[in-house]
Amino acid sequence: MVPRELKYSESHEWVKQEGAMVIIGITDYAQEELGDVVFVELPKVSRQLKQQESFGVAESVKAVSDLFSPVTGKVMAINETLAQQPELVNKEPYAGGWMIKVELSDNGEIANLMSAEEYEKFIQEGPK
Amino acid sequence: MKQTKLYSWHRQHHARLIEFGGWLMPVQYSSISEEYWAVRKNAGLFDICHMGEITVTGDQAEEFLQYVMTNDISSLAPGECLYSVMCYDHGGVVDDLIIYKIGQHNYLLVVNAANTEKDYQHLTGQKSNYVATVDNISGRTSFISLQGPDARNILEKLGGPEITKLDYLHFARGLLAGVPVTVSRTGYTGELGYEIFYFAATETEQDTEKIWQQLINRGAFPCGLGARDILRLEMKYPLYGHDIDQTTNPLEAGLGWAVKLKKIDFVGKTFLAQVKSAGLSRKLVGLEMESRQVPRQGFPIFDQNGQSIGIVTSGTFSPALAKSIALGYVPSDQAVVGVALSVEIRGEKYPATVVKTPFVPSQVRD
Repeated sequence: MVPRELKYSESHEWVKQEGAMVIIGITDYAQEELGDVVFVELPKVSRQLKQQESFGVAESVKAVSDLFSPVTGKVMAINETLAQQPELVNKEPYAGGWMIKVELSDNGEIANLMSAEEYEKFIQEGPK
Repeated sequence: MKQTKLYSWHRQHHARLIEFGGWLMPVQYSSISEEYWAVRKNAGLFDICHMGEITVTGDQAEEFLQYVMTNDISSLAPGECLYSVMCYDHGGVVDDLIIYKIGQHNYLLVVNAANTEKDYQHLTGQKSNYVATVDNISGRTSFISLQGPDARNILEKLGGPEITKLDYLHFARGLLAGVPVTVSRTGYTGELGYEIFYFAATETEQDTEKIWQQLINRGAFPCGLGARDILRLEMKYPLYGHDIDQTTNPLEAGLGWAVKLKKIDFVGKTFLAQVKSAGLSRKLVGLEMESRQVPRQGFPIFDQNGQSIGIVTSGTFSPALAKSIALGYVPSDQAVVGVALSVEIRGEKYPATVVKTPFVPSQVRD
């Protein structure tokens, strides 16, 4: 269920690297926990994000959850479609539900994120 | 924490369980919006075993209830039920409830789970001048709710006309899937609906599960408290502990229709009559947001001048309107349909308009 080619944070974001750019979203586990997403607040394009800084919120019927950037860098694009179709976060967490594209400042940060195998273990066992 | 007779069914069907009013209850099975739409378009099924049940019996049961309740109990015939509020002397709300008149001197009160013990104590404390007996029979009964436009069709497949042809706010005994039950045309969703419960002392876990499963097999969709909260909010049905409590009075909550000031005497009457003649200082209104951010309980409401004027008591995202909606108390001069206000959400103010309620048309009499 957890895509092999992605990297994962402990706050349940996924990261897909495409050269110097990364695409960020929340995992299937995270959307399942959150429930029906009705609103996603995303940052302005060109905002500088630090690793683990909040870049927005995902709001479901039940709760509000902060979204944390797994990397340091500059926001190059946001998923505008989510303004009208926030449910894509539930339906396609790894595809149409992507949230932001960030230009990496520090390539090394990616290496410190979890692999698919590690993330699977993490969600089964909980934080260490 | 207490478990309902459907607890093992919920576990087997991967319900997400939460604590509610001292009970472990399903908040959702599949998705809250899917469950919501099942009720609005077809039929949903809710485990409401957590609701409290209190019986009031005896020669002066009616006189006693007439004294502790704000609504007019004398208008009830056996087989009919009525929504009422129960107030303190100071006008605050003890609870809101449904009163079932079973017989001449025999009534059943269905109350909020978290309030059951408090209600029982309040009733017991008020009854010294009346020949009446108050019993808390909660936990000995099972209670499930079938709600939605297909509810009658589904019920007809399992029960006879005595329970399927009921008018709104009426109830009767009958057989459902071969099990003796009491069914009422009541609910908390705004849809055509039935609530099914048992008085029988012999009732078992198997019977509850049997009815529940048979209704599902005939097309009812299991729904949790998450969908139930949206459904009731769209109807502006107040939820105790959120929109009403001991600090709010029923008149400002928009429940004046259930407060009969013409009755000779009832607990809270003096205060409520004063409030009415002085005019309400604030009212519970429906707010519709322009943006999708959800206003939640406790968020402040502002007027056009930026003055903080009230507080959100309940809020959600309405699937029917595709907008966020809320209930909240605002000063009476602002409680007018069309008035532009704002709600502060995470430090920013977002436009909100006072709208007509219910937010979605009621279908309860269909």
